[in-house]
Amino acid sequence: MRTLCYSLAVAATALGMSAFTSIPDKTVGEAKRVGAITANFIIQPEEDEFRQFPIGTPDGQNCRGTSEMHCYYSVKPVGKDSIPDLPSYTDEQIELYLANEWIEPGSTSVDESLYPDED
Amino acid sequence: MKTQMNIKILDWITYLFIALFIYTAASKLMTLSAFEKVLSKVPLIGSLSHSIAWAVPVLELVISALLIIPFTKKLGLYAALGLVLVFTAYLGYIFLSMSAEDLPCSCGGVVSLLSWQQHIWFNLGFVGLGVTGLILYKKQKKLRA
Repeated sequence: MRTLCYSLAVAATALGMSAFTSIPDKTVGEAKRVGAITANFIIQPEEDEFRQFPIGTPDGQNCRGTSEMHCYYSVKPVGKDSIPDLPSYTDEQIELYLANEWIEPGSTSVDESLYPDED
Repeated sequence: MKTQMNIKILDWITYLFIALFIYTAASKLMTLSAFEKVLSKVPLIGSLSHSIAWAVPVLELVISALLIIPFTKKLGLYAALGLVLVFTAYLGYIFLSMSAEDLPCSCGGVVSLLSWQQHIWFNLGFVGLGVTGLILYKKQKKLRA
């Protein structure tokens, strides 16, 4: 009987701990998780270097590099939980996030045709 | 004296399995869509991601119940050991066949903070606990018989 009570106590504690550690932290108006990306967009201001775009909606003016990749990408809700909060991202990381469907090309973002030819 | 110690060790092993399964099951159920998303990227089981995303936490909860109920403790220990072995085989498969960095772990709560290698050692630790628990359970039964 004592073992049964202890087992139930352990189960209840584990359940409580799980609730405590698994629900994402929330701030007013926006769901955020510590260590995860917070911006709604990732832009490419330099060739093959991507950065978070924290405020507003980016456009072609935010792109200066030449690349085969898009000017900017929208971060999907699942991406907000999965993409780490980094100062910059490589093109390999962007391709991985695209493959995982964590980001998608911005609706007005186009690929290399947008960029001026630097040759 | 030794028998009392064995009973206590068996109890603690059971508590550890209950804590592990309840914790990870609840965590998976609370982040079910993310868990399903990760499973969908895994070869072999990707097409069954929806079913597996539900089956794994439900199975963990059922095994926890088996471990809690004294009459089904033996079955619970076998099931717990079996499930941990399956998880370890899955981790080994991921580690050997895929670029593990490409696959985010959705293992549940703080367990997901472990690296793939740490996770395999963690699981092997529980395999050892499961085997020890079954041996102690059988010894205990022999003494009572």
